Parts: sequence; structure tokens; C-alpha cells
Amino acid sequence: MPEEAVDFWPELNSAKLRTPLLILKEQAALLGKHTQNLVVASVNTQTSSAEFVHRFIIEAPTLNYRYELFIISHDLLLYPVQVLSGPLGHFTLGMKFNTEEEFVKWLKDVLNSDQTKRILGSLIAQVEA
Amino acid sequence: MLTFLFWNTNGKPLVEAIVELVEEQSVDILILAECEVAPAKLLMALNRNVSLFYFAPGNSPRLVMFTKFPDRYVAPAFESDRVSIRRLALPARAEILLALVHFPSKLYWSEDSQMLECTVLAATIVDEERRAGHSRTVMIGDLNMNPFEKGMVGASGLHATMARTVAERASRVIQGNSYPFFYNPMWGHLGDWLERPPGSFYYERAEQVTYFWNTFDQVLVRPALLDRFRSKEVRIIDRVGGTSLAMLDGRPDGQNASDHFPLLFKVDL
Repeated sequence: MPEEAVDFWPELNSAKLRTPLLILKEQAALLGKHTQNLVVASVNTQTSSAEFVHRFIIEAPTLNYRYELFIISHDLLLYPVQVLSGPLGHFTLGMKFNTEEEFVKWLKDVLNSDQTKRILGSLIAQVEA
Repeated sequence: MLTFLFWNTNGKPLVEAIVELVEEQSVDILILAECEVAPAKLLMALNRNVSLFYFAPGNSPRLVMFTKFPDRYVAPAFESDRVSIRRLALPARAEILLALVHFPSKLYWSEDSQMLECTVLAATIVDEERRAGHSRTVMIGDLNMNPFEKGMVGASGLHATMARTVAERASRVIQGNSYPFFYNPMWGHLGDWLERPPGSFYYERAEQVTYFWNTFDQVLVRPALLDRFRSKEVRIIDRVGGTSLAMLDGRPDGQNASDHFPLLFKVDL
């Protein structure tokens, strides 16, 4: 009888992790509630070598229009999150967030920024026109 | 279970009737042909209480679609002037293909032309099924043909049979070529038995052959989806809430509503 292999692996638990992608998806899903789904948001994720790249897209489906609000990336360990592009005043080259709290604070600022409000306001006005 | 509603609204601004019908029947997927109402206006009306619906854009100008899920789950696979084939891929559910169709009217196309166009449509659907790697397909639309016409039943046309037991054979071979079946439950909606509307569209002309009532608005299902499709749930609708969509003699009220009745059906997904 062969001996049963000893399992070196630890107990794995991913449930407690709030990934940047999950945080972005939550916010994307909430936008439609404020706009009767006239303007919605989505997250487009790609991998680039060791990086996960997330694009936050604002969409007006009835106009067939898409606008990329910002891009972030991170490696397998999720943090730090690096901002690759973003709205004016909320993006500088090399901008990084080392923790979930820092990233969430930045995200809240971006979504509430004057530029984001102006983009959403213009899109809703065009959709309703 | 997903509830589908298809309606050729004949270019009428039937926003209130559409919204009431969608709410009354708990519709999940709304497909409209000849809709002249701006999608944004209809979306606002559908979401007037709760933002449940999304506009699912395509490139077929004659067909519009609204869904209770974001449009990324119902991505266009094939688009032309009168056909829109979407891949409905909801999380943790088997993908299905939705082929939306609004065929040319008999006012402008001969029966022969319609029949030959069916062979083009059938080939397009088979192509998309090959690309998708499955044949879980539902075809919905205003075919401008009755279920018994040659384009509908012909093997190289839509090959749509009236009986599940026949459709369950999946395909049949003629002269060495294999032709997949559709099941067409609309055969059961010809005539006024069971006190239902005798069809979905009425047309009368002073010539020898006229059917008066026509069942142009149809849903066809591939054998691979038969166990998820309930024939008894297919309904041609002639009333929304307290409002009739028909005139006193039962014909579609083309003045106050549309010259077509809506079609409702359900698919277990």
C-alpha cells in the first residue's frame, strides 16, 4: 500500500479579501441607480505580465458612448494600487495607495470630483435630449 | 426562468402600454420591432420606479432590446439590417443564442423572396451556433410569414416543425445534407380555439386567397432548449391591464395600439 502524501498546503481563505476589482465593481454597479440606467459604469480587467490592469468605464448605452474615467493596476498581492491615468486633480505620475483605506478614499474623491460630476451631468443631458 | 416579450409596435408611441405590460407580466427581456420611441425615453419610463432595466444596444435599426441585466451579458454576435443575434451569457447559467428578426413585409416582398431569405437566415444562425459551440438558440420576431409557409417549414429554410417529438430528432438528412430543426410552438396559435386571439396580425385583401388572421410574430426553439421551454407559457396578448389592444371585433387596434399583438414566452435558464 502506498503511503498517503502529507499535505503541506495551508488552509486557504479568500473570502475576507476585498480586492480593488471588487471595490470598483461595487461602485460601477451603483451608478445606474442614480441615472435610471441611462448612464452606467463597468470595469474592464486585463492582465499585463505580472500586473492586473482595471479600467473604470462610464457608458451611455443609448448613445453607444464610452468614457474611460481612470485606470489602476496592481500585482498579485493587490496592494499597492497604482494609478495609471485619472481625472485632473486626482492623478499624478507614480501615484500609489498602499492600503485598501487609502485606495477607497481616493476612489470616493474621484467619483465625487467636479470633473466626474460634469462628465456624468453632460452625458445624462445628452441622453435625455 | 426568464420572461420574454416581443412586440412590433408599428412605430406607435406606446410607452405607457409597453411599461404596463412589462410590469404586469414581470418581463425580463423586452424586444421591440418598429419602435420609434427613443431608447432613452423608454428606458426612463421602464425605470420610473426602480432602475431595473438596461438598454442592450445592437446595430440592427429595426430591433431594440431592454434587459433586466447589464448589456455585457447579452453581447451582439451578428447584426444586420433585419437580424440581431445576441449571446445571452448570464453568470452560472448556460449560454443561449437569441436571434431577433424582423423580416420584410409581404407588401414589398413576394412569398418566394421571403422563402429564399429564410435560407440565408437559417445559414446565418447555423454559422453563429458553430462559432458559439452550441445550438441553444431561440429565434424571436416578426417573420411576416405564417408557421405553415415554405420558408418556415422547408429544410433549408428555418425547418420549424409543429411537434416536439419531430424536433427532438435534432436534424434530418436530405440528399446527403443535414438540416437542424427548430420547434415552432406557434402552430398551436393558429385560429381562435381556447378563446385566444386567432393570430397576431390581421390582413384582408379582395383576392381569392386571404387568411385574414396571421401568426407572423413567432418564437422558435432549437431542440437543445426544448426541456427549458414550456409551450403552454407562450401567449399572444390582446389586453394590457384594463385596456384592450384589440378593436370590438378582436382585430389588433392599429389606431390606438399596434397592428400586431405582443408575444410572451418563458425560458428556464
